[in-house]
Amino acid sequence: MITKEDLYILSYYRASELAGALLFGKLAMITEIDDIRIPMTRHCAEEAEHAWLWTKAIKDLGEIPIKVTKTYQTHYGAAIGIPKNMLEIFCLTQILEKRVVKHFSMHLTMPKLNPVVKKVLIKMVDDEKYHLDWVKEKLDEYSEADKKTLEKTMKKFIEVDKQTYKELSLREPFKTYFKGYYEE
Amino acid sequence: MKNEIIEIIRTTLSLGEKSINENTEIEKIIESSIDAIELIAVLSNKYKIRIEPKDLNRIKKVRDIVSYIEKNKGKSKTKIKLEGF
Repeated sequence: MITKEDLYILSYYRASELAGALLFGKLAMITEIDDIRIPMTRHCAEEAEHAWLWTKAIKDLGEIPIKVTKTYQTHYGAAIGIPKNMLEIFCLTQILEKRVVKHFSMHLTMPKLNPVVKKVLIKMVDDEKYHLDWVKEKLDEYSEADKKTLEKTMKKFIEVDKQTYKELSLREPFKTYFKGYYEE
Repeated sequence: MKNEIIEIIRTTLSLGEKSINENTEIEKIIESSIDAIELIAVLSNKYKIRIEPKDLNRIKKVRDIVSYIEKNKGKSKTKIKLEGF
C-alpha cells in the first residue's frame, strides 16, 4: 500500500524519465553531429528503462501511474524557453542529471522507505553516473574551443535550476512529502 | 520554399492529413516543448539557420516561420560542434 502522495511523486519521476527519453530519442534521430548519435541513443534507452522501472514499481505496489504532464523539464522550459542548440541541451542535461542524483540521494535517506522504491532509487543513482560522464566529455571538448560561452551558459542554467527546484519544493505534494529534507 | 517548409512542419510534427497553411497558429500544432525543440532542430539543420530566443517570441503563425527562414537561410555559420543540432 502506498499513499496518494507516494503515487504522485513516483508518477512524476516516471513522467520526467519519459520526457527525457522522448527528447533524446528525437534528437538522436535528427542530429547531424555524428559522434553523439551513439551515446544519445544509449541515453534515450536508459531514460526509457528508468521510466519502465518506475512504472513497474508503481504496478508492483498495486497502483497505476497517474497521468502527469508537467515534468521537471516542463518547469525548465517555462523558465528558459526553447534551447537553441545542442550545447544548451547538454548544459541543461548535465545540470538536470546532477539534480536528479542529488534529489534521489535525498529521497534514499528518508525513513521507512518502501524496499521497492529504494531498489529503483539506487539503480537510478548508479545509472545517472554514465549520463553525467558522456555529457561532461562532450562539454569538455566544447570548452577547449569556447570556454567563455560554455561557462556563461552553465552559469545561467545553474541559476534556473536552483530557482526551478526551489519553486518545486514549495509546491504540494513535494513540500510536505520532503519536509525537513530540502537543503536551505 | 513555402510549401516545402509547410511539408517539413507537417512531417516533423506528424500532423498527417490535418490541414495547415500559412495562417495556422503555431500553438495549435505544437503540443509540447519536445515538439518545439524537434521542429527547431529539423529546420535549423535543413536551412542552416540559428533561431535566437528573442526571435522565437515573434513567431506566432506558420507564415512567421516561412518568413524567418527566407530571411535567415544559410546565415548560421556553426564552427564548433554542439552549436547546431
